[in-house]
Amino acid sequence: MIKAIFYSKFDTIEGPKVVHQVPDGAIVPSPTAPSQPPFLTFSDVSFFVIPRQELCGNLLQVCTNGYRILGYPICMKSVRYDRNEFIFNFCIVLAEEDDFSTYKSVVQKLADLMHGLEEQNGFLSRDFSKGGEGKVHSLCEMLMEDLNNYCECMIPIDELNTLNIKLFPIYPSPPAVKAWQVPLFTLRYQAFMDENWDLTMQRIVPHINGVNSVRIISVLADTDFSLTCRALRHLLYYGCLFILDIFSFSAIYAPTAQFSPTIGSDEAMQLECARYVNLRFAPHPATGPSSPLPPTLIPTPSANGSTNDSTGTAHLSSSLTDPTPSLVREESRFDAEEIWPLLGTEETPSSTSPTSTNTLHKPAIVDGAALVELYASLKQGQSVKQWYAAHSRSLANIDIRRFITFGVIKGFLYRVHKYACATSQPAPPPRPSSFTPTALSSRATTGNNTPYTASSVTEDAPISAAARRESSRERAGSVVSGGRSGNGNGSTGAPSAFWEEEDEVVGDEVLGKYLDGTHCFDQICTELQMSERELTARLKRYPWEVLILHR
Amino acid sequence: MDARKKKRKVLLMGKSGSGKSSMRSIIFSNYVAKDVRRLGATIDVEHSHVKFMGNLTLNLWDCGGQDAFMETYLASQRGNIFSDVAVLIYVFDIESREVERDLDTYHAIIEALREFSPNAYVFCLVHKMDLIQAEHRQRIYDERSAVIRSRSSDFRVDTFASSIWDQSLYKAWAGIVHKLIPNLIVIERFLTAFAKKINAEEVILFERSTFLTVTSVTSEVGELNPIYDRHERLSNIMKAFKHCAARNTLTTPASAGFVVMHTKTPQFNIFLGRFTDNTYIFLVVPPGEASYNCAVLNTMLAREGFSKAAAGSGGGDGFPLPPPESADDHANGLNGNNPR
Repeated sequence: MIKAIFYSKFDTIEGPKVVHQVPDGAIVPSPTAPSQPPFLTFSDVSFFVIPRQELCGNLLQVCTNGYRILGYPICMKSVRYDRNEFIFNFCIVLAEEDDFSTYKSVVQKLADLMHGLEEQNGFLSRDFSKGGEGKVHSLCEMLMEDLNNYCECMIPIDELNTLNIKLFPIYPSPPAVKAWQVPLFTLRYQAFMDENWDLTMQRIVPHINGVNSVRIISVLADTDFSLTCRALRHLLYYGCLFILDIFSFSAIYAPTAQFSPTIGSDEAMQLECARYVNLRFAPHPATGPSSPLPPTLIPTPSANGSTNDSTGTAHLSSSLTDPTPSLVREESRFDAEEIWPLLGTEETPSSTSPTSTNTLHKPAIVDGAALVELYASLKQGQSVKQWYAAHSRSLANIDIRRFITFGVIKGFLYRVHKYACATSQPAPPPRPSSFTPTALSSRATTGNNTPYTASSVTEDAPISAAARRESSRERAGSVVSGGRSGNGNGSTGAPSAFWEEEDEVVGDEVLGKYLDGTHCFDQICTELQMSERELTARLKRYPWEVLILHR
Repeated sequence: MDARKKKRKVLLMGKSGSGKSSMRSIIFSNYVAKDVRRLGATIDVEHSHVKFMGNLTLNLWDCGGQDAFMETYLASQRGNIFSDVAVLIYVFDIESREVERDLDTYHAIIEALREFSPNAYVFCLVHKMDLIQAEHRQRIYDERSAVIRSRSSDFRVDTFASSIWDQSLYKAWAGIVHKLIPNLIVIERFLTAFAKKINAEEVILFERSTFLTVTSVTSEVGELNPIYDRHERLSNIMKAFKHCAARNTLTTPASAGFVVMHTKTPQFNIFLGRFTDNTYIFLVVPPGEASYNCAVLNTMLAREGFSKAAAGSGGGDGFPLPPPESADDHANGLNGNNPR
């Protein structure tokens, strides 16, 4: 909030002088406003308002009496001025404790503009109007009023010049946007987008949906990748986006330390979550390949479960344009009872129903406590697929992607990323049991809690899983190493065909650059444009032993 | 401690635009008069340290004279500005239309000075005298200095009429620095004895960088010289000469020096040469080759003694000898100016 604006200049007879001040009497006593006590003693600070010539052309600020004065003094040298110089300063007075970063550019811009106007036609030096009158005074007046009320102003000065100022909040620079990140709008972009927007921005926004990764967005929008990243970074700067990870059923999520203070105890958040994840409220998609899927179709991620490409994930999403949970607040529309997702009607033998809602005398719902339990059952070493298999009944009417996303956005879930790290050991010989890729991709969702049966490497999972240790007992307990798959020589069938093809696409050298343990699978998959399964298979054929780390 | 004592605070005050910074630039920064038109206004106080006669440092406070500044000097800055003042130089603009107001300000300044530095010297320069028609100058100056004295409380005030366009500026400033040199009595005693020994009509000691007269000795014959302002004229001429030398040797006026200059006429001989590190000596001796050579020789011999005498009297290292390369090449020619 601007407390005052004043225009000061160096008078060759009187010295530093306040010519115009808004409000009247704020800086120096004014005969027209005798009741207004000045905020400060001008002579105390005049040296910083009109400093010596060497200091001019710099942003200066001085604090006095609880106020902060921001100014940008200008010294113009010309023989047409008395004593060869014209020194002036337009200052903004703020409360000392207020954030002033946004006003720095304002004073600088004002100084630059006035410098130009003075140079063109002596706008300031020929202004002999008394304090409280004239163009310069009304300019100060409008500036203060508009900036305080509207945070922007557009003040015409003459037929050629207009003072356009907007207060921009200053945020820290957002981190760089990566190809494998997934942006999600925090608000409805349609509400504020117009045709004046940047062209890249206009093209990419329809594809930002919390599902598409940055790479996919740039492909779908047919925009340059680096421009896409820059546009997204702009949105990120203004807090219009969340950055999520690529959702897939093979991914692992686990609760963070934020769990109990947020979802664990916050009933409002539980309600919010229910409303967001409940398939009943899923908005109909504006675009996209599929209409909202009936709940019964949801639990069939099967073959798509472990792929990262958009076609796989699109089926998992009930909507391509869903807004973020925090913005969907229409609580009045539903009873609290209706908000809770219904439990699945059919009890499959595999779902052990850990949520333990009593289905006998109440409509079977997943209530707040049940939601928390569902979240709590996510853990290291268990992929979403496994988790789903264990809780499929509770999740029958829940959009799983949204369910996970909600936790990530609220900060009580985090993605456990996989990293590959090549050692200098030669790869161990292939194990006979692990080389058939068909075995692993097919029956992953049988509801069986040991999805590692087929292959330890592809579905590799967390360290903690006991099954994992059993199946790879020859390896170290804490890390999982990829073994040679036998080069597909044993299986000449269709499944191995793409491996061979891929072999040509991604050489060991290219792949090797990603195997230093600092690149997560999402990144490798995105940059090498392969699915996670393909990558895992490829890693098996890497000549050196590859350890896979989860963290 | 010793070094501190020799730092003399010199306040340069007066109404805005009266010419304080201009004269400071001419005297201490080798500006020529027409250059000062380019100067901007002084904002607040500009501090500068001027080395004078080697170890004497003048701590010059050039105070901007705008009303707003004057008010802060007298109010919030009062103690800071007016304590430990050795010299106050107050400049009056003879052209000012508000004489009464100027005098009021002056009086307020004098009162502040009396409060914090009652032992300071006060010099008043009635400046821009070139703007007054020549025939009225003396009368107006006398009137003005009488008024100034009447407003000076119990300070004994020296007044000078000055203008940057003629030698009067040098006269005023020579008078000022004359008061500031700590071991002046020793120097004067030495110089008087020396002048008598070599039978000189006049001996003048100039400060090296400003070319202001430090002191001078005039014999009875010398007193007959009708040119009363010859000292400051010489300062003016030599400064102009230094500028000229600098221009032609592509150096700056500050670094342009010269070793010796002599003029021989049937009526008199003049010798102007480097004396000690910080001074030039100017001798006027009777005509004749023999007496001239004798005087020059004696001057060279006297340098060492002078340096010692000045130093021995508690003046410190104020008068070290110049480096040996300044040795006399004056035999090379008559009337030869040898810009270095």
